[in-house]
Amino acid sequence: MGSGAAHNTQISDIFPFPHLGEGIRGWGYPPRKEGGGEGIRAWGFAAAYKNTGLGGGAPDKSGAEVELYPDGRMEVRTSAAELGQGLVTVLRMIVAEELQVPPEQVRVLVMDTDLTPDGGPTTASRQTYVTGNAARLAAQTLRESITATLAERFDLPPTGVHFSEGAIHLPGRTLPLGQAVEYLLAEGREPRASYEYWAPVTQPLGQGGDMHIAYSFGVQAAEVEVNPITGQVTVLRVISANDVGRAVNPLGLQGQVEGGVMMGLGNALTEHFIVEEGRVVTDRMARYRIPSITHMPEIISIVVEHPTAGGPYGAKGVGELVSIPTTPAITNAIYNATGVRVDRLPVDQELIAHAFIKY
Amino acid sequence: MKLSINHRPYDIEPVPGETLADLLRKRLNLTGTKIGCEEAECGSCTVLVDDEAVLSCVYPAERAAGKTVLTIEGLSSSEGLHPLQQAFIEHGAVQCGFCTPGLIMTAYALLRRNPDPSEDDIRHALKDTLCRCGGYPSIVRAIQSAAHHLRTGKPLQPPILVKSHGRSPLSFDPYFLEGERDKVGNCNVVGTLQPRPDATAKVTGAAQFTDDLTFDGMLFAAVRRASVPHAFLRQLDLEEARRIPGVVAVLNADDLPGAKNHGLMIPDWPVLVGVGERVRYVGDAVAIVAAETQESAQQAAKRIEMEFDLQPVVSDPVQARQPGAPQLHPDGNLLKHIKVRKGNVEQGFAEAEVILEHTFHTAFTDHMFLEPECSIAVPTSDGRMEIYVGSQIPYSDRAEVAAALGWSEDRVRVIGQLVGGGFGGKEDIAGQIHAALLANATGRAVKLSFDRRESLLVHPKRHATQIRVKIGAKRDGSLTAVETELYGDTGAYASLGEKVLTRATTHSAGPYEVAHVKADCYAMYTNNPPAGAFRGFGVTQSAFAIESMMDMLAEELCLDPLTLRRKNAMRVGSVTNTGQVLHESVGLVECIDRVEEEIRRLSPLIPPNAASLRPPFSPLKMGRKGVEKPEI
Amino acid sequence: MGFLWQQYIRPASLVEALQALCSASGPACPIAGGTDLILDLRQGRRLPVHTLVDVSGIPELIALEERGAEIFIGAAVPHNRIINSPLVYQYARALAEACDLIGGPQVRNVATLGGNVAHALPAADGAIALLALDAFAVVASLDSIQSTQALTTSQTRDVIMTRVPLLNLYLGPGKTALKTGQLLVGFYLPLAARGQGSAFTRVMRAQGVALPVLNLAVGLSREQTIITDLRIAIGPAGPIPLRAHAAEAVLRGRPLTSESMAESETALLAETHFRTSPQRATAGYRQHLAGKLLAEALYTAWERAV
Repeated sequence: MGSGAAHNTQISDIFPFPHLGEGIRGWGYPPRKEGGGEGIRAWGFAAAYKNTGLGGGAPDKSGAEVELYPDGRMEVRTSAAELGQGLVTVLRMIVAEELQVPPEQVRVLVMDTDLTPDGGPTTASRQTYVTGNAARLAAQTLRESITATLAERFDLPPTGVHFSEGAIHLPGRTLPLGQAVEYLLAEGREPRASYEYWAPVTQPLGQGGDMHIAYSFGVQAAEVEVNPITGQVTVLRVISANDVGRAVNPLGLQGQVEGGVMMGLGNALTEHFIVEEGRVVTDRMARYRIPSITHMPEIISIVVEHPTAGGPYGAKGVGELVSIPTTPAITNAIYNATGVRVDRLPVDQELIAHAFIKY
Repeated sequence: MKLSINHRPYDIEPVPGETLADLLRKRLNLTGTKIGCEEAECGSCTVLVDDEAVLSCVYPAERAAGKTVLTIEGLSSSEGLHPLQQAFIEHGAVQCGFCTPGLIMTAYALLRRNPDPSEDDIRHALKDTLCRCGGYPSIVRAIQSAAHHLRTGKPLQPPILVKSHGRSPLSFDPYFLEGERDKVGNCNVVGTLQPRPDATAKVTGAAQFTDDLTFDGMLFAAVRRASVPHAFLRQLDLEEARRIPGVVAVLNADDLPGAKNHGLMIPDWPVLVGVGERVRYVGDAVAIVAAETQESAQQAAKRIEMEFDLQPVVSDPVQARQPGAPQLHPDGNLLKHIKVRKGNVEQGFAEAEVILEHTFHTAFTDHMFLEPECSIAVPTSDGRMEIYVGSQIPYSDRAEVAAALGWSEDRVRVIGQLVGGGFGGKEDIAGQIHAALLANATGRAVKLSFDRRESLLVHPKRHATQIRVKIGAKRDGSLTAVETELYGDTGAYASLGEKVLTRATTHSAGPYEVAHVKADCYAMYTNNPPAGAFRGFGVTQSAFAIESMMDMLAEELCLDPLTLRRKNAMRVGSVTNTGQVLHESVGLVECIDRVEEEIRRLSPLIPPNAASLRPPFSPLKMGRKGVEKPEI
Repeated sequence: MGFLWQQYIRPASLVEALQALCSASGPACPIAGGTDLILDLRQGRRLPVHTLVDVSGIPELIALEERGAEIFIGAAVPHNRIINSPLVYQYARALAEACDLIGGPQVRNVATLGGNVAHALPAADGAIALLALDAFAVVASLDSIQSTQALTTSQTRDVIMTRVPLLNLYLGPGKTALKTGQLLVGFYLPLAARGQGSAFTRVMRAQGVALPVLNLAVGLSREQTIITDLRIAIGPAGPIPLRAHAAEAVLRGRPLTSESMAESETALLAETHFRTSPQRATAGYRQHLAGKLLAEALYTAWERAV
């Protein structure tokens, strides 16, 4: 420690917190030592639920069309919007599952009002359930049409027709799936099927009964570290457990869980759209902080599956749920760490710092 | 000026005021590099110049003379994708794809300098390259996987996902056909690891978003907005604007051929505010311009003169409800009074042994999707209108555009483009109608592209709320009553405010079975920007309130927070506060159990039934100047 | 019409750059990284310019080297070069720390210390560090800066280099004292073999604009346990970056103890008049942090001064 401080005084007595501002310690992320560290650490917990689907008596329907081409490729079409959440992956997987073809053989066309049936709004975490069902049922309808055609053609019971690995297996012969097209056309049937799926009817608010077709449930715990001098809060770890009914697209689900935590973290700590007397103060991206990778906690995703009978393969919606418990998990953790109850968002670090000044 | 771009030599005439991003995107049609903000904040425009990552939106093109530029399009080769691109696909690090080129280029620059980056190194290098879909951990794993492959030559490590828990059998399934029940358990595709169908296009920069498109003869639009929060428009002068060279059309409210308003639930949002009409928020559109260049359109918009009778501003929902507050809509400031009733809260509170009450406030927040809104309207030779836009509701856009044009819906075609993040912020009309009106007036394609500032001013936000919760419980933790009063600031126009605040209200008692519930929500108009759909849709706000209350209650009862949740959690058979019986599919308790298990695994020092989820050795003691000193 | 600039010049020498600035056919200004300048132009915080003179290729402005008992850092050296320079790390650590916090990695590849100082914000991280390191700026101009005559190529003029105390470059928040026709060439920092240490620290708010709540730098020399020289720079504590002279005076000639540090903190709070920045920080919060940031920086600079 160089030539040392003045006699009889430990530098650490003069300044017990070596890590205060940015700069001196470089940039690094607080180390995750159990029970140690340079701030005060605690966990916080929160639970939430969220409806799947529009609910409240609103008609909730979606249309999808599935087509088979002679080269064995398929296309599923719907106007349901893909926002990055992975709907196109889910639709591809569902159609591939129903016809037992490699997923790469299924193309997805979305969002064109001339070419794709109405899939309804991408909102209310509804698309996997509603459009997923539409695609599943359209694919099933096509499969049944192929089954019936081939059964007639080869004089078999329908149970004699099996779909597997991109082919159709009949007793004594195997056809590549694409070949079904000519058999269909020969019978005057189209090599495509569409389905308009209506989600179960719901009741408007105030009339009892079922207001929503399903609910997803999510629980999160957040571990924070609070700097008692500056009041700054760092989120170290987040555990996120979500009952999604059925994880159709686990890779996409993981992305949603991660992104949901980041959005919830931003909602708690960094984001504030300021309007004063009707005038927008936050009129630039520079003035609105969304979490960057430097805010990223360790995120532990736990998938829980309590299937819902009406969802495709039991799936419920998840897109919104994953972002909801994060904020209160963080603010509850801040309370556990500091005794400061945050009842106003976003968290004001001055409030926390001030609480410690009183000591 | 001579420079190299993606290993090819170029000889280009410089253009005044051109940034490197402009050169790449507009002149060379290399649209893989994206514009997210034009403020040097988001990193979407990152390219490499002489092997260093730079933000092309603030890099003058001429500065690149004599230098080597590498964009996302230059990363893959004839041998295929770069390992970073492949790793992003395999690890699910691509979602909407808008930030992907910038992220990959930033990561590429890092790996050039540091082939074995730690997680801290990756955080540091990617600090200002933002992803709103937010899958940062997947991004880190993708980069580490690519780095490992580049260092060792071994194949890319595949992603590892947690196995799911708690699959319980379906209790009844009328929707599944006979013989398919076992399929739910034994799927070959569903439930497996699959890459996105559009991932390759997104990692190579081939994926196009609306602003990447151009059409022959395309004009550029600009919108003149009120910039005052509450006023009557007294005068409007378009003459100077019309005289700007390159301006082809200037339209105001007198030129509207069809519906004067739009709106997802209630058509209360003016397409253009006319003289004598009310301006309700700073983003209200007054006139629109189409011109040959973006610059001349913006110049012209600035030259539009407006005169207002300013009105007193209604700035929060509580104020909006006071008698005497200016009334913003014909039916007043109350959009909706939403009520939830279950049982009898008076009785519930009478039965309670503990009652707590507290008020919470949440702020407006913005979606901040990285792709700002862009719409292109293209009139077709057969009298139809095509709209190219990244929208969450193509059919609804079609209906609203057709209504504004005064046309039948089949004359409009919405060709939805990739959406660079939505989160609820791309459900309302942004530029679709304005672009269509200008395209109709000029007979030419018109592109209306918001910059980040316009995006922030215009599109609906997450509702700011004030939520008062009163909660009653027995000493054993069972909830007897929850009463909530919510005020939601739905801003100038309805948007989806009624639905959002309904959701906030119905979910306001949390995922718990409570016998007596009373919730009232006042969805109020104000002169703030409209509030509408945003991921979470009202439940984000009410969950913050009720979950804070639950922790406060747990402390009051000396119960640990998890025990309190478990005691009241919804289960199969529970009745919600709107009277719905949950017949199946309620995994809440299992979620609580799994999270508790994980907390204890990660922090074994927390004793069971901890009243506070923090290690018991209370690391702090009083010290000099009240600074508590760690004691381990 | 509407372009951010009309003409972009990349002179290869200092005299060419100065001539270009003087003889442009419209308003002209120098550009190095441009990350602040282009945004100021685009967002209307600066009047449009006709000519941008790109100085990032001029040898005098991109030098980073030891010159006698000083380090010279050219005004157009990008922050990343400063951060990675062993010279800076050893003799001007506070500057490396400060520059590493400016913007993000992409910005630091092009943005410069010269730009940081010329932008004249009172809490610019680079400038605060330079102030604590006792840096002098070097400003170049042609022999008569009043002259705005167009020059023919046959006329050569002499370049005059002037050493200027750093604070002389500041007129007020965002207002530089640099005139048209003057160019910031670089900065000299004293270099000492032993007994010198420096540190930089800052606190940010989690929301909103990335401007500091408070930043502070300390440059310290000591012999054994006695502080022989001390410079404390802090911002935002006024219209321009502030040297905390009273706080410095308390410690000069004394050892660093809990008592002397406390006295210095008291002096600091007495000589600074923090203001509340709406939506960023209250004056009270700044007062609360200032003493503690000072302690942290002093402690660290002390330890480094071996």
